[in-house]
Amino acid sequence: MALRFPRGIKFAVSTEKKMNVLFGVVTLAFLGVFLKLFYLQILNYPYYRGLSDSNSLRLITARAPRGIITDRNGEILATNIPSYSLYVVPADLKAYGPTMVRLSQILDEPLSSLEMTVESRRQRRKFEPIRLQAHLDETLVAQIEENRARLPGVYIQMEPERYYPHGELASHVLGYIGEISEDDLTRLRENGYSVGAVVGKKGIERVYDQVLRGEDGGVQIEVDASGVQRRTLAYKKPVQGQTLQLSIDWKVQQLAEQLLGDQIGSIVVTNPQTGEILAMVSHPNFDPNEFVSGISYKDWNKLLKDKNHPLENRAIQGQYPPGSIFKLITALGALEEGVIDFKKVFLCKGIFWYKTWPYRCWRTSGHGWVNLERAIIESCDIFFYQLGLLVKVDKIYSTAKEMGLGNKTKVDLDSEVAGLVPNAQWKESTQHVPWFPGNTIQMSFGQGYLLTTPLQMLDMTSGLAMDGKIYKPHLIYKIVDQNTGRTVFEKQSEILKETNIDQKYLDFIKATMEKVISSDFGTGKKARIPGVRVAGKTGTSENPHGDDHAWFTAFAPAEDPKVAIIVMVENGGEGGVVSAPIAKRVMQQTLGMDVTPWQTPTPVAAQETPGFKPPPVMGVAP
Amino acid sequence: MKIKSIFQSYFRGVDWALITCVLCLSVIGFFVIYSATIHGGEISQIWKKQIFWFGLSLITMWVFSKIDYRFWMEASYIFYFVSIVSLLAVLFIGDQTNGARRWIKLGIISYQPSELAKLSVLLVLARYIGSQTIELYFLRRFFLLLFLLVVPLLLILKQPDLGSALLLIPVSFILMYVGGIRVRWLTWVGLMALASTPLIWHFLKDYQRERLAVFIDPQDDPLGAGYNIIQSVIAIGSGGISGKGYMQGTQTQLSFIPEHHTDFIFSVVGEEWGFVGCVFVLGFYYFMIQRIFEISKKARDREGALLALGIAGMFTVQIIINVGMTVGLLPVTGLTLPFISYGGSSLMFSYAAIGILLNISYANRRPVLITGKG
Repeated sequence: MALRFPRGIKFAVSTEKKMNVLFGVVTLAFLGVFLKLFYLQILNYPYYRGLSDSNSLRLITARAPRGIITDRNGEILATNIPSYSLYVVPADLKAYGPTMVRLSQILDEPLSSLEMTVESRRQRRKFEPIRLQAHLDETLVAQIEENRARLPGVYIQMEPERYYPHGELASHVLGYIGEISEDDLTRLRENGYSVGAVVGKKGIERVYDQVLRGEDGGVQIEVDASGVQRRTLAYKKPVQGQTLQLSIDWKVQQLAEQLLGDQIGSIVVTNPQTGEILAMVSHPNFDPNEFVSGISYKDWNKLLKDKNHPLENRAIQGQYPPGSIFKLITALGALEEGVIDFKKVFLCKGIFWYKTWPYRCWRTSGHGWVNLERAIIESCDIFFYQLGLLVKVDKIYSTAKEMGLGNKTKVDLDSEVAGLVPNAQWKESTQHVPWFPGNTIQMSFGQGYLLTTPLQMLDMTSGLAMDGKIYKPHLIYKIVDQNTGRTVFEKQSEILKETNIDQKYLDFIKATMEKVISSDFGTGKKARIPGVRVAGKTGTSENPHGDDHAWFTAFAPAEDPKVAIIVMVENGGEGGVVSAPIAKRVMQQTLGMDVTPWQTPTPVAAQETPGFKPPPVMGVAP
Repeated sequence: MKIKSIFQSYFRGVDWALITCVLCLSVIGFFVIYSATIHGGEISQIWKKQIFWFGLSLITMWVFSKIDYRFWMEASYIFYFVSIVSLLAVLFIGDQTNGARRWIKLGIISYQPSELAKLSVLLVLARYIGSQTIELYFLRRFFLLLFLLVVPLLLILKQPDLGSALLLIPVSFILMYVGGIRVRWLTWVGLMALASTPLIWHFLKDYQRERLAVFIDPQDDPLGAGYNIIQSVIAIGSGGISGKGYMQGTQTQLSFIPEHHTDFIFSVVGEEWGFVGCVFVLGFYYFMIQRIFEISKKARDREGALLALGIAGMFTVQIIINVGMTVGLLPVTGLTLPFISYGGSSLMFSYAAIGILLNISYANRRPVLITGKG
């Protein structure tokens, strides 16, 4: 055995030796560190002491250009333009007084306001640059560069600045950007956001901020003891954010914006087969360019106090009674519940007495004996009052929920609201009053407590168009890497919910919706498109704020829906008169048909932001 | 006096030199953390937390010193199994931060499986090598040992946690080397590992490649990791012989050095206490390692000796890598400085290790009542 394992015998001895060898290695390692310390702290002490005393390294962040946003065909909706900013490093303002005076002369700004900005930071974080002014024009830049030696601690930095070439158009979809807030900072710190970062505050800019933001670079400069820039040590190139392609079709969006004109309201167009949003309009709107370099307090207040709420995206934040469009839900509920069949008729005399309360039909002369089909086509109210009383609130409630009302549509935008589908339980718990049959009557034709957003009603229409399948509405189409030009993400359509309503009832509703358009008595006949089977429903909802809201929703072609649309004009009047013609033209455009020629609107932004030359575009969309 | 004798017998055999040494390092740690964070706004209360963790750590040390180290040896395979399972689990259900999955959330407690894995590999190797002697001359035993090491190592690299992996490799090789694996085999494996570095490079995440690239040339990323190294070196160099004085470090107080209460705490020592302070702190560490080597040499059995040696190796590697990073000798890996850096779990882990060492040293001064394996 000993022969086979000759070394095993010496084992006990060699362990001791090996331990000593190891300890020798440890000693050497410590010695190495010791020598390096000796080298740094003894031999090169004066050099490092000098660097540390002058604190001569400065970091100036080079902002990354945000990713470009385009429509589905590559039309640029948000891009970047170069802009010069003036930075000061408080610690380097050696000759503080004279420098500030000189700056105030060059910039033509009151000395006190400049000092106020700098003063707040002279003690804390005094090595971090402060941006004193953005958008310097070229003569100013030249002037400052000439005086560089007399302006220690002052730097000019070229930065990309967000620019929305179409100004106010689609502003609710795009959103706007701004300096990161305290709340967002705590929420996003883990993702590498820091104080002073510019982030998306609303809309696509906010939701896809992490895709768009890119990665900041920076310049490391060495300054001499008096704070004058000596040389640039290093430069890290900022990386532009990725390009975001939206599902928006710019031509449709533009037409819809133009057709809505000055009216307050919202238009949304989707492809019901995928959930892609082709256009989303909300009026009044705002110019996101105003937010880019910090909106002034006055302008911000003006936007906030405006009684028309221009910052609100009515498509997802506006809550309205849907009016007669909701009759489709009541009808579906009734058919499902089996309380009527297609032949059942009710009498409409223009007025309906429930006990001692009168309920009127919009047509004061009445519709006579009407069945369900005619009641939908001509939008008879009294038919639905009686129907609603038969169906009862619970079934209407559950059908509405099944079609996606009362819940968020989960569109990829922020601040969406859920709307409200009431039922007895809800009323008792919030108002402490029981549910009355009168509430059911009001709900049956889309009034009362019921509140919906335009996008929710469009989801309902899409669901009907697609035989009960509701696709999740979305704005994102593709993400393209700016540097490689490769598509890194492509949105797949997702089914949000699938209803299990009997197909024969869906078919009936769809056929009846077609007749709303095609019948000569139909309320939606102004949306007729020659050669295309359009299905739709009008709505005219009463509200306490003035004239009726004009609703219209439709999809086309009925046999194979390619487009679904909702038009809602606040206090616009009758849906069939005001909204249906708008829907018709937008659908024609979407389906690629000849549209009555219309004038290309002059770009709004170019006029409204004076001082901008035609912007050179930084980075080009694929 | 009866009480006195009980007292004496209770503390007999305690390695007071080692305890004094680590306590001194912890106290130094409080002062440095205080200086580094007191002007830092929201983190200025951190030194209090560190004192709280220190209290917990002392209890941990006491508890571990009372547990017979052979218990860890007996349970080593169970620990090993558990850590492999949790390493697998973390890849699927772990919390993702900075592109790495390292943490598992158990209720309110976050747990980092790679910490347990480091310990369990150490235990299992000490156990396996310690329980055999001449059998280790069989090549297949060596392969088995390598297998025990490589499985958790790959899982840790997959997370990826470069620091932990960097700690495991030298410690395992130390144990195999002292345990009696042929030096020639170890050399071959070492060379093969070096040759396969490009392959590992392929598996690294972008930020880790960046760190390595920055180490080779700090100017490569002067705004990120490179900036940290440059600033740390300036801080230490500007400390000179006696330093700028406690709480007087300009680099530290002006927050030029990031993470100066955790990873880069040694640069605060260097700047404020100078060369003298650095040598003093390194001296404590050197003395501590030396004490652990003594414990290892006098251990009652091979398992105890190897366990102590493994702990010594772990501390050494951690100290050298951390200090080496702050003086610009080694890349930034995210390893903290034991006993001084801020951090609860790292402090508890270090004190638990000291507890185990105390038990090993305690056991070898008692008469052997139970005969261990040959």
